[in-house]
Amino acid sequence: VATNGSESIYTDSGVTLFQDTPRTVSFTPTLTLVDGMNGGAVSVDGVPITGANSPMPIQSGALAGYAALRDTLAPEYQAQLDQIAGGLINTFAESDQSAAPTLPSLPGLFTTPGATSLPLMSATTGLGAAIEVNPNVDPSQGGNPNLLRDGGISDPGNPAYTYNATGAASYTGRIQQLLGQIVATQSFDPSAGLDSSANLTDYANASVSWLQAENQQASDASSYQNALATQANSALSNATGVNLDAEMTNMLNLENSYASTAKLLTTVNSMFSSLLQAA
Amino acid sequence: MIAVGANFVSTNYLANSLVGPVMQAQSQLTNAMTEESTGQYANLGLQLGDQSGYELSLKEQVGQLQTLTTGNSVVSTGLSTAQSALSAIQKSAQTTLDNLTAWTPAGDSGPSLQNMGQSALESLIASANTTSGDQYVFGGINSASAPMADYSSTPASAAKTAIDQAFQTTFGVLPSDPGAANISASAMQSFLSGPFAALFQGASWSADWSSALSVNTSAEIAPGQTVTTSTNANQPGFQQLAQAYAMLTEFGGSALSGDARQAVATAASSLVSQGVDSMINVQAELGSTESAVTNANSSMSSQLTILQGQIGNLDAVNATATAAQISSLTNQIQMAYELTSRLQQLNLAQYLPIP
Repeated sequence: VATNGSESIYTDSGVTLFQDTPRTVSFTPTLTLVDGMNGGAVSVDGVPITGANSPMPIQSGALAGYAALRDTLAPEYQAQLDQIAGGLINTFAESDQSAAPTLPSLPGLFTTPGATSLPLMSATTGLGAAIEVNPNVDPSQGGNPNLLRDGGISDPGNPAYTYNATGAASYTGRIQQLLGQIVATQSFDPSAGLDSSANLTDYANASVSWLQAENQQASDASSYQNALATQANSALSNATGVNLDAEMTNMLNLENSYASTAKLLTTVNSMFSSLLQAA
Repeated sequence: MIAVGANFVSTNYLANSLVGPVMQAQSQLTNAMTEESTGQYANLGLQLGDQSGYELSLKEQVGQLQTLTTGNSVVSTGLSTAQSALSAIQKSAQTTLDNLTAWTPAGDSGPSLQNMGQSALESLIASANTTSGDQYVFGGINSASAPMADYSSTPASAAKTAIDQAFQTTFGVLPSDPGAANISASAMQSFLSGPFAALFQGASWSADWSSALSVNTSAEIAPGQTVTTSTNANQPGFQQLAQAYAMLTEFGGSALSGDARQAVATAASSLVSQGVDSMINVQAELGSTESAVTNANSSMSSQLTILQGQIGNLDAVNATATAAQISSLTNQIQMAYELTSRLQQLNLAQYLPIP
């Protein structure tokens, strides 16, 4: 509130929302958001107030919360899920079992539709959504589940990827190798915000920990803000509201003074009439 | 004008002041009731925060240990089946050995040597084809097919054909041919230790007798502990016993001379006693695996207890504390309702006489 009585409203970062006239709050929606792409920013008066390019980003409130979720938290979690998916595909990869290996390793049990090579851990964007169980091993899609034991999921027609050459029923070498690979340390892209070198299960656990820690933090912040709002509300109500009892007392006072004034007038009136009758 | 000070309370605030606490208490009450009925925190992730990953890894370990324990019971069943089959083989070998020691060519007018061999060979093959579940326990990793084929089948088995052929190549006649009576004991001896013995080793053994693979099955019985969990019908014990029983079956008939049959019986009894020794070794190996499995199970079960206790420390709520919380919350809410209705009564207008 300025000295001349005019009122202005600013965001917590200092962008004007109202001064003389209301300012336009705008947002350009992105119709299709592909993996790894950031959505548009919310602008006030042409100045972006959310997103990485904002000169004056807002710090709290619903808009800031939604924007943080959309621009920071969700993409980071997505990156972690993509890394987990990539790690999973690489863990279950099949290598050339020939005496002199020449063929590249291929995705085994887990793959993505149409994959012809293993994903690079630095380029896993969108893997989390695309990962699937290889149809070659999925009985509901006409696959052969024995390939999980024998290997050769990646290319059933090519004996180079078959680990169990004799087809023996109790061959456990491949499965034991896979179990070992799951707990083997592998490298992850550090840009996902977690350890860059861990085993697959530890990495997935760390991702859950990260998410729940954010959850806890947000919940704490929210209950603090709630308490603040309740306090402010009671202060406001006390500052601008009235107490009915006090008002009632006032009214009774007024009534009484009105009544006594009236009584006084009546008395004066009767005094005059007595005087006039005596004359 | 009324002074607005620290003691001033607006009627609006007075009337609404309890709404917030009541709503808070109600939401706490629903949480507490969920916790009371499930025994776990209502919102586990929120409660544990960055400990969630630790909780998950503990649960993972529990799952792994439980899976291994289940798997171990399959392994144990397979092992004890194999042990009892080996005992049966050993027992029949012992019986054959006793009979062979008592046997003399002079006392045998009929095919008793041959019968002895036949029944022992049949019982050996039957024991070697023992299954546990639908797995052949002596098949090595090739557990889906019977390790030893029937010997006395029609048409003649590969093993019998190979023996007949070897005999004919050496002596020019079949064992059942009356001409075989001319074979001397020393010729018989050198045949048995030469061409005949070769049929029970290496490629001939795999081709004619056993479809087992020499690679044994292995299984992880505890985290990081992989042991060999079976044996296979390519062990020397099986070969020696099969060799002894086959020579009794084929050459124990009365077509051969007494001396030659004595040579057969002597060679057979030495092979059987070797076979018994080999079988004891195999049994000892399986026995040590069995005890490893038992040890792994007991150590995993104590680990499970520790882990489950740890998980309980993280995610379980104290039932008594929750029950107390529920009753105190209920009281609190009731009190708030009571106060709200009292506050509504607390109004100066109520106390003024209506003119």
